[in-house]
Amino acid sequence: MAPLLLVGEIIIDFTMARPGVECKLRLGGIVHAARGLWASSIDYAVAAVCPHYVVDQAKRYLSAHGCLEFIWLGEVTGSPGVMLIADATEVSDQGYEDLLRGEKEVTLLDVGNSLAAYLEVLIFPGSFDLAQVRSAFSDQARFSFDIAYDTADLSVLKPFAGRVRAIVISTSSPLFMRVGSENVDSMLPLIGDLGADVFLLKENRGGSRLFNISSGSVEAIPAQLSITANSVGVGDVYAAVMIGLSGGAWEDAAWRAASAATAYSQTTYPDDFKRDVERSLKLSVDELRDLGGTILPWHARRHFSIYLAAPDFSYTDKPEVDRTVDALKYHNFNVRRPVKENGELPLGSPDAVLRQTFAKDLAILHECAVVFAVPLGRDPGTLIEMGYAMAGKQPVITFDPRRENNNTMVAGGSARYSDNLDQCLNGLFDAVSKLWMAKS
Amino acid sequence: MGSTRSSNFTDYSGSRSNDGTGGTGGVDRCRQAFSCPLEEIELCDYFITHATVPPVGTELVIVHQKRLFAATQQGVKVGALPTSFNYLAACMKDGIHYVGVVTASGILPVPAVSADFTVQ
Repeated sequence: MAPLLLVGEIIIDFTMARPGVECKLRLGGIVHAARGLWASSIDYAVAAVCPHYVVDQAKRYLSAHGCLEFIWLGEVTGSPGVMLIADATEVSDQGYEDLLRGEKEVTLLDVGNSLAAYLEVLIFPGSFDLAQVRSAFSDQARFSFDIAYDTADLSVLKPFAGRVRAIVISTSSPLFMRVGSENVDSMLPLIGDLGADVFLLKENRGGSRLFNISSGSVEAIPAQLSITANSVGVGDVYAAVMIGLSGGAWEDAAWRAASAATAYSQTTYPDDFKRDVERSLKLSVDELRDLGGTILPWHARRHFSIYLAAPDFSYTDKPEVDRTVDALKYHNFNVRRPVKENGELPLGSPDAVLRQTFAKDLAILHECAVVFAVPLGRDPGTLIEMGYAMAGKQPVITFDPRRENNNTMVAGGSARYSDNLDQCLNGLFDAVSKLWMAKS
Repeated sequence: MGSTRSSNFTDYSGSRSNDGTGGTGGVDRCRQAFSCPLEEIELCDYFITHATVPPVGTELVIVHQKRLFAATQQGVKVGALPTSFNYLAACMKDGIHYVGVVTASGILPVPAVSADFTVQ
């Protein structure tokens, strides 16, 4: 197969150190996708938009990782092209800081006919003019797009209409939030108008869905939830490997790509990543299908309310509770917060008011599918809510960040117990996924 | 001044280092021991046949029969591994096999088995 050309920005990813986690400096942007192609032994080349000072280093790095040709497509000025990453596990919004992004300017360079030979192209839209890029390719070229943060509207892809093969989008992208977060069906006609064969919706820990526009079929591909070492660039690997393997059936390519993406989330070391991808390639696609995993579509999550059991009081220092709420909302769960809904009672409240609030809180608990508990300070109300839910066989996920409740009844009764929010989120996705699959 | 981890790009394939940089972290998760609770115990042959769960100390292997299962050495399935361990299927395809032992088991309030595993 002819090499796949990756088009997009190269930036420098710097994941900041946190307690127990060292900092990490890597080439990012389309280099993530490049690592995925290299690990999967797929021929590729790169047309990159990046600051001049990055060019030689990027060229050297990519050349050492299978890149057949490096074309410097655009110069970035005003910004160093450095992304600071606070949370590499995507527990909630990853907190990317693109330094000096407001000053960033891109000038596309004259690359002559160097792009014209490439007929299979994957573009990661960024701060560059797509129509101008289109004009550098031949009429025979076919294009796929992985849309992340810099595309507000699918209309920018109009110059490619009729030559589009795949549109890939993540539930964390602003475009999805604006157009598809309420109903994904509203996106499909827009994608169909571009003439795309398929639309891949990456749904983070809930797996992904491949919509085959021509056949009308939908393939659900589960997530393989494990300890996340890094989520930065995982979606890029997914898109690149799927397009790179799309000479066969799209569905098979997506399963392979999902496996490669999972491997990328487990390590930031390229040789370890490649070893794991090569191992997964020894499994047939049918074997991958049979193994199962976690499927929980974005739009299904709202149907399962999550009861927040926590000392969610205004007078409590509770950054871990606030972080939990952010994470649950980020993943589109319907979080029910009894303290917010039924109010905080002052000390010395009358017995009747206490009983009435107790009943109202339990009514919310009964309406919820799962309890997500953060028992800071061994809060007695939280522990009672947990026990009540356990007795009623409602799954309880316990996030115990201060390790204050590592007790037989708490840990043993929880569907997942951890001091790590990433692990608790995985437990929540597992629990709700099982409920959703039993219901559908 | 500053961290040596940010002075240049170190994650080149083929490079090795003991300081957390380089092309490999030196860890192969296929070769790491692990513990896990088993799932779907009531649906597995051991429980269906014996109406109970294997006692602590029972030796186990992992078998790949569509999903990954823990089974007795005679091949009787005891429970499914959580899907977070699906990566083991690729490890097994690569010739790595696992043995384990039941570390906790009981049938109340629901059948439950936990086990430790290591590379054979």
